[in-house]
Amino acid sequence: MAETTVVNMGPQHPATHGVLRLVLELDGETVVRCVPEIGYLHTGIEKNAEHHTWQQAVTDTDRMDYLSPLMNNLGFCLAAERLLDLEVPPRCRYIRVLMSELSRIASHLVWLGTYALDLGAQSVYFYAFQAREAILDMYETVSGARMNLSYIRVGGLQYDIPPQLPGMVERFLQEFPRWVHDFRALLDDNPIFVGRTRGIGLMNAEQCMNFGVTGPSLRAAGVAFDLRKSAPYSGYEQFEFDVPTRAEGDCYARYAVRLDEMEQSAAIVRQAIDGLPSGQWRSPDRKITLPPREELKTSMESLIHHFKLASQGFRVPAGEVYQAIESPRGELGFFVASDGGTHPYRMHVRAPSYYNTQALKHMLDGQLVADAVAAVGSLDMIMGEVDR
Amino acid sequence: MAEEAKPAAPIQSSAPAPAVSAAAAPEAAPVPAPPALPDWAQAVRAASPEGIVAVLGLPGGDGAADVPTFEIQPEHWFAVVATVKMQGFTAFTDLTAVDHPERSPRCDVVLHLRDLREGRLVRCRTRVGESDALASIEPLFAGAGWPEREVFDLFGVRFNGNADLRRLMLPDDWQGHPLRRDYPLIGPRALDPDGPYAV
Repeated sequence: MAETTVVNMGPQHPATHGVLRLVLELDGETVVRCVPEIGYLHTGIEKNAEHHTWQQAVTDTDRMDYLSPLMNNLGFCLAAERLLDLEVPPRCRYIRVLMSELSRIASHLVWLGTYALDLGAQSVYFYAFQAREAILDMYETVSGARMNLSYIRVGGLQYDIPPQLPGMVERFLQEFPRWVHDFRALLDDNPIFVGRTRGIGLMNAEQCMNFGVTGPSLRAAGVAFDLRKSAPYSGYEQFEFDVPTRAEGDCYARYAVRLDEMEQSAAIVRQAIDGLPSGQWRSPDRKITLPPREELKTSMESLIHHFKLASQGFRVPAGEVYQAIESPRGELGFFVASDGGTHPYRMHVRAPSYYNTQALKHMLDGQLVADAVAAVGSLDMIMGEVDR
Repeated sequence: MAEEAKPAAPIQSSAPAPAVSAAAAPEAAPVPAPPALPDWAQAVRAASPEGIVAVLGLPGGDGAADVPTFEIQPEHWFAVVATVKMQGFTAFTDLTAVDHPERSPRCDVVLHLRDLREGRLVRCRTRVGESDALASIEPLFAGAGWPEREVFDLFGVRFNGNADLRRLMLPDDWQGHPLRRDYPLIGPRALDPDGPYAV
């Protein structure tokens, strides 16, 4: 038995996508033991949320998974709305689904581009980011921001969608199949890509469940578990889509699942934009949502509501609730407790990347150190969400 | 049967109640069978009756909750979680804590488990004090390793049997446990060596 060497991969390694540190014990080029170290991006988001009002806490959630901020907004708002026992109008639910699925596509595109880059295929990155730009432009059109949108609010949305958005979505949906075709042409049978991903980073279904791994990584191990199907939220039961799975449980399977998922998301976007109901786009409950701007000039009551909501916020009945949604990375859960006040008593985030990253200590055993890069990338971790 | 059902009905405070209930009894007679806990929840309760304080959020349970919930005595934590796992909840989902400084014991430890085949979710909860330790469930679920370290780091709850119980998010020399409700958000008190968080 040769002597082993301990190597630090990260926290400033470009292939660790942020600030993940892996302490690798190597025997030659084989990983004998891997200890992931996290916390370099800990920003106390859960503590901060306790010091913000319920509506302000939405802005805390954006900053965790910054590649799909809308999903974080949605999970928190659904949890708060369950405590409030508040039903949002159908148009609001549809817009939430529309924007969520667009952000799922955008997030998978970033993953695709950077993962291919990790494995040495540079051109995929530019195509993927070009497609993502189209979605960021839509973000900007609806909310004015390209990241950290806070577009989804407790009780509804920030604004209604502007009139030009359906046209932008339409153009995107027309071009998208061609883009996906290009990605597949670049990678599906690419001998280098296939050689570096097939049979690498294996996780079977039982190990995934044991470690709490969810999302595409779980579905790539043959488990057709998707919260949009098994515990539908925000009206997902009204949409038709498939849950793509693969049986192999390796990096290539995760790639294949994500590409299929993008196509399914595009199908949901199509249904959401075609079936978009008219009507109110946020709850008319004036104790929760702000009154329309025009009313402030004529209605004393509206002015009072506006002042109370903006200065103090609304009260949420005491209780605890766990609300989970399917984020691009897996089960994003919000365990939220209220003591009846205007601030969350506790906001805990069950971040999918956190559990997926933890599984690395099992995944990398016996792999080559060069394959560690392929395995780490295939999990699509966001350190902002892992460390919170 | 109808005669026996009468005393079991909710006690009426006013005098004419017997006459009213006598009239209502023929219709009410088939109803009284109380809803029973689902089989799997009964099995969990039967396995350690002294370990479970309450079952919430289920028909036949002791109260309401958004998710089926077992309130567990801390010393039976590991055993009850193991029986819950045997009922099909094999997918580790989440473990965290909620601090209630005015209460003793102050800390709620909250665990969520899923059954992926049937899409069921269950919550296990227990209460531990500031200096108590809880049995680690890492031997049952490898996924519990980090969240237990995180709860130790941010709340100060210790887990006996966790293979690597170090701080997870904060530096090893950090003082105090920031997610406790009485830990200040900002200011010198957070780092004051003579303050309430001095080691």
